[in-house]
Amino acid sequence: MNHFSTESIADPYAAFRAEVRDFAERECPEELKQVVRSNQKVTRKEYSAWQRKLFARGWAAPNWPREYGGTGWDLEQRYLFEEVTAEADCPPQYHHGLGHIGPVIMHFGTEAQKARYLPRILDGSEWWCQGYSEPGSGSDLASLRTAAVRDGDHYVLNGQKIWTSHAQEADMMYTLVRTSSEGRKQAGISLLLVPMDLPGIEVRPIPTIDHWHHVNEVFLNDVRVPVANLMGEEGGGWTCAKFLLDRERLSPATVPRLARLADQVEALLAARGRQGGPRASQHVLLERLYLAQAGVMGAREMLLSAIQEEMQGTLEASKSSALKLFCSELSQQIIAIAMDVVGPEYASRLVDATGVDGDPVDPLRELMHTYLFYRSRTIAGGTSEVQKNVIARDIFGG
Amino acid sequence: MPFHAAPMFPGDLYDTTERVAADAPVIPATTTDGSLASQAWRQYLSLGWQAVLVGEDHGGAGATLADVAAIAEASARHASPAPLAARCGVVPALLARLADQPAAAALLPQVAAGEASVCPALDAQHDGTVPRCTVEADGLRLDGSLRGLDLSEPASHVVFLARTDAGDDLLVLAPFEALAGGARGWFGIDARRSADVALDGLRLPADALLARGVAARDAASHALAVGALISCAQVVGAMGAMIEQTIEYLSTRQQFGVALASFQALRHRTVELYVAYESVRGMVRQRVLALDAGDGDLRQVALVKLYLAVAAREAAESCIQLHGAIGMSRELPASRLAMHALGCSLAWGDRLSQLDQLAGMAGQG
Repeated sequence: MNHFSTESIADPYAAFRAEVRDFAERECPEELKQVVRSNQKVTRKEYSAWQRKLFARGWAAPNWPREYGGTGWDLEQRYLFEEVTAEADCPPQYHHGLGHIGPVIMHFGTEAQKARYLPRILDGSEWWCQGYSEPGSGSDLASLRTAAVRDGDHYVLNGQKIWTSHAQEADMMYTLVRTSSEGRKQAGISLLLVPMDLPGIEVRPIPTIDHWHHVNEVFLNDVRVPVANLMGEEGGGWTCAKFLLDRERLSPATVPRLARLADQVEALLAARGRQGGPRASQHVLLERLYLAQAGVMGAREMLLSAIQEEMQGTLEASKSSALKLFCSELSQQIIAIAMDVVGPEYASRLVDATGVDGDPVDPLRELMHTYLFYRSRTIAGGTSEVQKNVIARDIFGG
Repeated sequence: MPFHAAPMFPGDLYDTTERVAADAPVIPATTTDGSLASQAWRQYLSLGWQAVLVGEDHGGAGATLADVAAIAEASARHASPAPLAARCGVVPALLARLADQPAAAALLPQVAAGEASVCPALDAQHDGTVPRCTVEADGLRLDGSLRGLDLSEPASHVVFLARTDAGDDLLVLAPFEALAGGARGWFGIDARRSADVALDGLRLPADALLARGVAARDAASHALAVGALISCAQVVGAMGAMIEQTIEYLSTRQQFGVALASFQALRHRTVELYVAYESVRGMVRQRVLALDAGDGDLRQVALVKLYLAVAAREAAESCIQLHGAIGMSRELPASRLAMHALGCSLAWGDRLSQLDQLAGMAGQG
């Protein structure tokens, strides 16, 4: 079901929408859609299978300009692409390469770096993760201590990263390191592109409440990284990171995925409503659903106006932070409705203890995993509290 | 630069309305005499605000709902009690659908010219009842009462929903003086003035009947959707101004030797207000444009109105809390904005009635 009446964008793009829908229905393999539809964790396997299909079609990078192999689509096309692929249960595109480090390489990288890294992001052959947080540096990222000491043509890295998503399946890590302890703490930070197979790197999974393997600790012991892997200038890492962070908060994929989740919860409640007569509990859940669906409408308008402003270069930090704050909390509100429905049954049945392989996937159980995983939505990528500080600075004028 | 609310639909209508609303006296006279129009209302009438939504073939401007929303948003920035949603949105939308009726067609040009001003009563009473109507050989006989007529400004007519004993819905138009007797007047939480009127055997000529059955219900529900959206635009206007004034207050007021704006708890609560504002502004604007484009999806309107009801309540309560004791004062503009947002959120379908409507549409009522 399409919640978005898209009256403002439908007509000139009807052919485009039909083209994307046709592609999504024909080319996206059913087993990928099944993973998405049943809310299982999407891994590199599914992401890269879909990325290969998109690459073959010339749609590998909806957010990149044509000169780097992107589609060069305008705002409406990008949004429609996300909406249609989300409705068709295609996997999202993997964001660390396309959304984060790719644009940084385009903006700050040398020609050699662009030629080396960008094509492999496009075809999905090289997988990236983000080495930012450290045990002592979370929201206060600029206090990071992982040291990079120059030794001839190499930097020698020692330290530890934590909460590194996808490190277990990544080929490369873009990571912030300290190249100097002089001056402002931001000024001593550099951005390095680190191959994950270098000697001295150890990845350990962090067991999390959702029982999905998503985040890791990454230990760096005398890891020798070529100086050619420095992004931008030494000491310019904070500038790159801020450039990246602004893009991280503004992802057109978020809202259509939220709409899809709301649709799923609507179906869950409709099925529940058919079991027995009117119940007060059903109406409580329905109201939360309706508020969430209206919230998705609001999120969509905020996103469209933010992307518009971004393209005109007038986007204020408060707007992208407001969007991140709003969408992450909305995603929790939606999944919490599902949690209330399936919780009584599945809270005690999250993980199969008998070790029998090949059990069919139970989408309702996956909703429990998703609920638990979504607690991270208001923590990762800048906590809600940090977003509020950013917004407050803007709206209070200091 | 501190936050300043950007209008959903900027332009002359917004600017002019805001100037008029800003000049209006803030504390209305506490008289129940509703026969005198306020200075602001007379200006709105002479500016042609009632004509905005009336088609050109009926002497109106043939403009859009977005234009009415611009007026509503601007006036709400000053908590203006003018019945803009009713008289400039709902009534033109209703009469336009009934323009094949001579009485409606004759009334539209008068509305556009500001010579007539029609007070609508289209939703059921809180107990689910509507006035009872008996169609007789020489006209109509009405019983029951009309509650909560918005008479913040004088009305020349009342248009209302009634029902026959057989359950047939009727839209009835009555000159105001026909039912003025036995009225009980009230002031509302946001300076709006209303009246409960007993109909007790009121007789009206046959041409007072504007529509019946499906036609009556469809016209009424479309008009109510317009009312819901325009009152949402008022909430957006009130919320934007509330945030501006709250930031101003927190930045000025000192306690413990520092500005209140230096306390993170207060900053964060203000930010929550702001983020809610951005989301409701976007959804109301989009829905108004959709309705203008002919998409009258009532479910979407109900979703927006439901959301705004919750957002308005939270905003009003935050605004009062963030102002501390002065937030309780009726003389504080921000408090009047909070009461106005509350009033608008409860009018034209409150939270619970939207919920009932939505659950009914989903077959889960």
